[in-house]
Amino acid sequence: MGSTKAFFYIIKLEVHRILRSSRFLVMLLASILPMFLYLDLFARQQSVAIALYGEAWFKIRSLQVFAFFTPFLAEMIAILLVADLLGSEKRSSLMVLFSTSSSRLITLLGKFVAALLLTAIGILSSLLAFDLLLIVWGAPLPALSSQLLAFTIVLFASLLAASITLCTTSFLIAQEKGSAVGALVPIFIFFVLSFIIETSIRFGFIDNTMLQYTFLQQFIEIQRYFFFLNAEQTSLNTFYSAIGVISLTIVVSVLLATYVIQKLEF
Amino acid sequence: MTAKWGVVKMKPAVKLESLSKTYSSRWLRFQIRALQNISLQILPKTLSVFHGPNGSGKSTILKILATLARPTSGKAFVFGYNVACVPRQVCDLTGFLPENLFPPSDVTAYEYLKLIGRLRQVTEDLSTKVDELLQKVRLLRWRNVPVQLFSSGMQQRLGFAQAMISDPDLYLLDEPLSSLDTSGRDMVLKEMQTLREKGKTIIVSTHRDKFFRKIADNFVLLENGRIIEINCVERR
Repeated sequence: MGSTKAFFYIIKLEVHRILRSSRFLVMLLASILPMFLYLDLFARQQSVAIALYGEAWFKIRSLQVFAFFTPFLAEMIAILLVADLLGSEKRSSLMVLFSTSSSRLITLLGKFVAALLLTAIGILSSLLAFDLLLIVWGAPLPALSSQLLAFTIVLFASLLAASITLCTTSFLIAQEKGSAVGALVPIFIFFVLSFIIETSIRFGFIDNTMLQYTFLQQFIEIQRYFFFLNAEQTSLNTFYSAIGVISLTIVVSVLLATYVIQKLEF
Repeated sequence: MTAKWGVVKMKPAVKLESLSKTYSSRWLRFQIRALQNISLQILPKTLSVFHGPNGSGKSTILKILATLARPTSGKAFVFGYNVACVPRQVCDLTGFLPENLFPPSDVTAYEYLKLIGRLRQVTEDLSTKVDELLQKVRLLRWRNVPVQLFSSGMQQRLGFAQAMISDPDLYLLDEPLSSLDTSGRDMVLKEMQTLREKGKTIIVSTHRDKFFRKIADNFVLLENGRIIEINCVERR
């Protein structure tokens, strides 16, 4: 009972701590502004698009745009939040937290859940900005259920990014290194690697099959399973395979982080 | 070296049996023997000071007792509980102050103490308890100020307050007087005496043992992970 109270207090404290700092405002702006810029271009052409392809096409297309672009920002926010909440803790501060009778897991997961909640707030803001733009341009809004589905896909992407950051940050804490560096590995996996592969394909150095090694492609497959136009729907097997790869990565990352923190010595 | 003191037959608050600790890394190819075969008993209701040069193993003993490090060999007991076997029970009985505590930024003094109180599963009214402690360490008027704005001395006093939040039976204080001015130092020393009078056991690790000469019961001199000398002061 006492541990549960401690768990929820950590979440509450960490969420408050970030919300009242200027960092969250910057993150929020970062998540909304590109949304505005891109969707503004897309939504202003809505009358032409609807006339050419129909209202149903437009709704799915706009959801695809949202579900493709928001994960980039949400992943970045999740990575930075986990690195900030866990990685910025000084060693002496961790010693105090871990010398209490509450399990170390409570502190670790409390910070992780707080980072996810804050990311969810960022995604929700993106979603509101998305709806607002469509309303401003008089474009038809996708159904609420489809929007919630898009929100869930983006949250799933953030969960993956947060888990990998949790794992790398924990390893760095155990190695007594500046753990903000823990954000570099997920940034490489999610952004640099995707960029290198995409660019290599464009220049003809490698073929399209290399894309399957990026999480970006896995998320595109998931997105195409739910939001598809014409005959481009992902097959059920590919969908399950993408879900499986991502879920496995999340579980392994969180378990590794837990193991490392439980075994951590000062 | 085995050291025992105290005429009265009491159960020791802390008992170390052939305790050794080695820090090593295969990658960096180093091996440091922080503690070498240390045996010691400390009676309850005493204030013991571990002193000695840097790297003599003072802090390592405290970390082992605070369940933050595991002994390589030997055993450590706190009020009869084996530290390696039942760390949760040991944590319930101890309050730990690390050297140079830096609480997380953007957290107020009140929130920080409340967080530690929750983690230590304090059952009594936590808000009142936190305010009492802030009053005790003269930080009440800084209650709602983010701790990153605190001076190092104020952070040290806050650290001392967090060690007291669960009213533990054993205090493990690593350099509790560092960064403190004269009045802060006097306040902490006086509080330690009060705690001992209340029946608490206090273990301090410090370079500056001269400040404890008037109040400590035992002095343990360590060097290269070994006990060199033990001095017991008769105060009663």
